[in-house]
Amino acid sequence: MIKLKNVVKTYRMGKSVEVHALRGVALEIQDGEIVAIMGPSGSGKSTLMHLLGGLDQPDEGSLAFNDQDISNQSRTALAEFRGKRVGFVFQSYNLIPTLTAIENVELPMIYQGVLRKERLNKAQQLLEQVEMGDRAHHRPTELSGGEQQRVALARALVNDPEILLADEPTGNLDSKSGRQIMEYLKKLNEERGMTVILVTHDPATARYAQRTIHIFDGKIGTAADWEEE
Amino acid sequence: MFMDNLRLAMHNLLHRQLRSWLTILGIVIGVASVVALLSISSGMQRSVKEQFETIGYNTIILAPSSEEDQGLQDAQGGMGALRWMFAGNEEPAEVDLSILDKLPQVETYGQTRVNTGMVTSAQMQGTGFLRITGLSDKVTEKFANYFQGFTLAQGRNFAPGDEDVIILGELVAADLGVRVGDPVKIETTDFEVIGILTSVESNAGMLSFRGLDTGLFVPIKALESLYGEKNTITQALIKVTDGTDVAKASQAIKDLFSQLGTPVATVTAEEISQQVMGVISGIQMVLTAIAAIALVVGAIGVMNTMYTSVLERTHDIGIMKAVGAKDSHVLRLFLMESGLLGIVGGAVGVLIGVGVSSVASMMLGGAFTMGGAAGAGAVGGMTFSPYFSPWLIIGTLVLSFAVGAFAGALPARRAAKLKPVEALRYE
Repeated sequence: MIKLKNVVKTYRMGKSVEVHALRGVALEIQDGEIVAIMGPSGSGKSTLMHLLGGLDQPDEGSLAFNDQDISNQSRTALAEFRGKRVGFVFQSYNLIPTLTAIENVELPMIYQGVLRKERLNKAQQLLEQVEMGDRAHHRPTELSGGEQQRVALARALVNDPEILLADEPTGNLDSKSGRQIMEYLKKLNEERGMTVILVTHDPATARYAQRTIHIFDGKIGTAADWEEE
Repeated sequence: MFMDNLRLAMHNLLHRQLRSWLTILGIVIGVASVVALLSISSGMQRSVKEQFETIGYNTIILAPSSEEDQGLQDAQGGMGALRWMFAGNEEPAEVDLSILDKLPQVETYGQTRVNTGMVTSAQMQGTGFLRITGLSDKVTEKFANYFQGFTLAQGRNFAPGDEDVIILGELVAADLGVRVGDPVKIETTDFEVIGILTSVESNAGMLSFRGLDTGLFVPIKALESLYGEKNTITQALIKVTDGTDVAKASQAIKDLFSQLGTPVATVTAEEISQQVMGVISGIQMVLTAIAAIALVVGAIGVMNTMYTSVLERTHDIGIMKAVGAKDSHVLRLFLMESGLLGIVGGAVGVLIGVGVSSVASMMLGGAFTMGGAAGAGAVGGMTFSPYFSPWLIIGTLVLSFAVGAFAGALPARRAAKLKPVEALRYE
């Protein structure tokens, strides 16, 4: 279970301007849930995802991940948390352009000290699961958006994370590729019981979720808040 | 982990080949100059040392000296000795060496005397004014290292009691058109040729007898009969007994002859070698400092490349961190890359340095020929080959890796400290 209490995050732009990205967010996500976080741009949903994934830390409040409070951890502990317990899927895929598909998938395992042979086996196996087995040695620039996102999905899964964070996973994809990715996510949730958190403003994507959390002006709100806007 | 880092680092460097090679070139130039200059100068030092070792550190060379020269030599310390050595020969002067028999430190000694005389032979037209070297009994045997190459092709060496006999260098014998057994006339006296020396290919000794091929050798007694003045010498070689302090013995001998009213200058192999070594060390230090500057410039090149690389790959660093890379992983990757730039530069630099110094020493070898006048010139040409000590090679490789890694340390630290969110946002 993921439990957020009174999470506050303020960014400083330059010296004087403060951006209140999150102003006291409280939230609970159960294991095995598919949750969509929706909100307009600038609402703080990306910040929320960064905090959930251990990419950033809150200024105030606590962020507990089962037993582990990640709101106040060292950089090394956070890196370990990201490497072992979280998988990321980004809107812009975020594959390393100089590495091939299989090398990109292999990368997270290097940081966990997995031996090379095992890494290659597992990476190949995961690429096959997302139907990218035959394109393992292509570089990202040689792949379509949908293909790149499938490679990114394989990469997110290599260290068997408990939670999958997807930031606008279909944002750059055509509807067919988008649906394909969402079907994979749904399957992962059903077969492995993986918690999936979708950050999106696309209602079609949000429909895959069992529950939708609306965020508005850095606070948890309702769909109505958004509509008013 | 190390291998993975190495693989990733290589991958990144190869991805930017031109820039990597240009950066490496900077290191190559620095390392090649360090290696070349150090191996040339240590090769010189070794060859100087070897040459002094052949004549032996227990040998003192003595020559007659005027009171003024004496003062000059004292005032200039060791450099005076060097100047004296390189200046060539003085006129022969009277010095009674028999007093050396009484010194317990002296194991043995021998002397030479050089006079210029009119030489004729039946087979040669005209006459030659040539330098004739008088040798004391067995001096060529007692100081065989000094008389390197004094080996007979034909005939025999001097025997005690010999007087009007002559041994000729190969070229002189040919010019005079004489063979063993023929007569040669010096001034008005007939000398019988008893031996002809083997032609000397090269006379590499720094401290050895020069010009054997053009030499005319007679027993010293013969010169005394011809030109008078007993106990006259151009140079004496004194070997001290084992365990004697050569420098003290040298000073004692100088003092002794000074008291007798026939001042001499003395020089020991040690003195000359220290002087020469000192000069070489000085040159070595200056050259190494210059080479070190080149290496520093190379290191700055590595640093520049790495900073650029960190900036360009900020987004990639964000991705690496998002998928679980710790600061230390990122740090190590960038250090590995800069270290590789360093070590590849080092390896190529060592190879080029070895090549350059081999070629350079061939050319320098000729330029370093000093003195070389025929006769009893003490200082000869010096040939040397660069010396590549294994420590120089290993040290240079380790140093170049360290230089690379060190130059990459700040950029790598910057990369490691990047915040994941900010790095990911960077496009």
